[in-house]
Amino acid sequence: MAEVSNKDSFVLDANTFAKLHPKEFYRKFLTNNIRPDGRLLKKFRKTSINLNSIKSAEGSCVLKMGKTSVVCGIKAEVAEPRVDDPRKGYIVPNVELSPICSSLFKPGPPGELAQSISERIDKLFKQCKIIDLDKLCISEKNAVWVLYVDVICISYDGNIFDAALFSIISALKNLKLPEVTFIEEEGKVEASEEKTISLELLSTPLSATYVVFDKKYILADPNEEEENLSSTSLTFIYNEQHKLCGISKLGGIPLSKELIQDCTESAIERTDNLRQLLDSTMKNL
Amino acid sequence: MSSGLDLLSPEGLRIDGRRANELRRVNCKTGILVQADGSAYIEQGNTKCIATVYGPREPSHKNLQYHDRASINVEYSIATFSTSERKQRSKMDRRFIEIANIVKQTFETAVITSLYPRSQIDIYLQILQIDGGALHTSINAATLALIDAGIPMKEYVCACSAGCVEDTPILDLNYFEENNFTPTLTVAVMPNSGKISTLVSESRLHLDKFEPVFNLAVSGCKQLHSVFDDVIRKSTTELANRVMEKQKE
Repeated sequence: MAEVSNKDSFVLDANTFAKLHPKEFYRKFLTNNIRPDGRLLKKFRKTSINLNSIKSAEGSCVLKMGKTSVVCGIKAEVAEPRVDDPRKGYIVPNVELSPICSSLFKPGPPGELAQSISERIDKLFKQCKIIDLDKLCISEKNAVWVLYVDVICISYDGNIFDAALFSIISALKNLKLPEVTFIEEEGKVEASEEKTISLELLSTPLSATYVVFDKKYILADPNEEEENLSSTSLTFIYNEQHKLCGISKLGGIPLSKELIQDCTESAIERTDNLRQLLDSTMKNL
Repeated sequence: MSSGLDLLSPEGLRIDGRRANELRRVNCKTGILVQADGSAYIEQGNTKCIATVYGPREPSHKNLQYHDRASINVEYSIATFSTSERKQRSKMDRRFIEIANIVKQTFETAVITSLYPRSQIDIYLQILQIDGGALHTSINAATLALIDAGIPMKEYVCACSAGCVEDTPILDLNYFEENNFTPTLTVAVMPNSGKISTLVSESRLHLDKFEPVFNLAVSGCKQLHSVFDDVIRKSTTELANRVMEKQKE
């Protein structure tokens, strides 16, 4: 600890200053248009994906976005369809933020953040028609596919929604289902040993998240510290035709329309980049 | 005991092509996550596990605070997509709690807890893919993560399983072998002193066969120890080099 004897000798080193006055620390960087981790304000973190690394799942993706990493695995199961929709399969997304990924999360039932992200992704599936649910039908009224989409966060450093959504879309894209036939006499489903059938995605909505610091600085792809210091966050979801599939600003300080419009271009560029990354990774598989 | 499929071919090879006394491929890495105080990833065959360690830190509950030692808390969870059949199991599944408890008791003696009174060490285990041997993989992952966290331990704890097919003891069982009524024994040893810290068997095993099976498991632990020691030495050297470079600057 530095001792305060007279005013001149009181000098804080950068690390201590960052701990004591985090907002002031950020301001000093942001006025020079750069962030403490060396990124420009609208720069996203380096993102990489690894497909099909979990062999027990029908489709899987390991994603790293800066220090945030998630694993998404999809298990397919046969189930009875709902009575009101005898031809539709269903998808059950679930995001898990366990204490393994950060000391922020406590063991026990899923917290608010994990539940709300799962819910937002579930809504997106229902409204954006990512998959034609009729294609998941095996036999009308008897058997359909259920896709359990589970995302486990391994390391948490902010912007979990973008990470979760991109990993889910990537895992869905390389999902392989076995060939199945429904045997009516016995009322059971027989599956082939090899998994060959992939699922066509009708659209690939991806998201880009920004936070607003001090009402005027917009930071793309916030890390955990930036999330905590910021006063509101903005998420845009665009599909491959650059159509807006969702936008959310969950409370926080009010923003001007211009500030929101300011992000749209960069969000489109970001989601396009992610799509390219996915395509090139799939090609190299 | 017949089991439809031969677990051991006449040439003495197992279904995955290993010999009876052969370990599965081991791949491990420490310090994979920055968020945690210590972390490790380990692959034993197709069983993949991540362990993270937080602490020593303030206990989450007052009743976990001991005046003379640290308490150890273990959480074990397996990903829903890790098995070939998805099972919706709650976090409070008894089997999980039992495994967590075994890991906890193993490390309560191995970690020198008296150095950190009134604090808590959390070990979180996450299985990503399972192919038999979840318990011993978890113990191994926890050992590596604890070392990565710099928590003083008496020595390594290495764990391995062994079983018995007909009269031949086999090492490091995979999922298929485990689920074919093969008697299984999981052993955790401290390899330098040769002390046994954990010994679990939940199946019937003839007393005459106990000794060879047990010896095989211990030899497996010793092989694993040399692998882990190499990895730890390598990562520590790297760390030391980095510190030296920083000091030079």
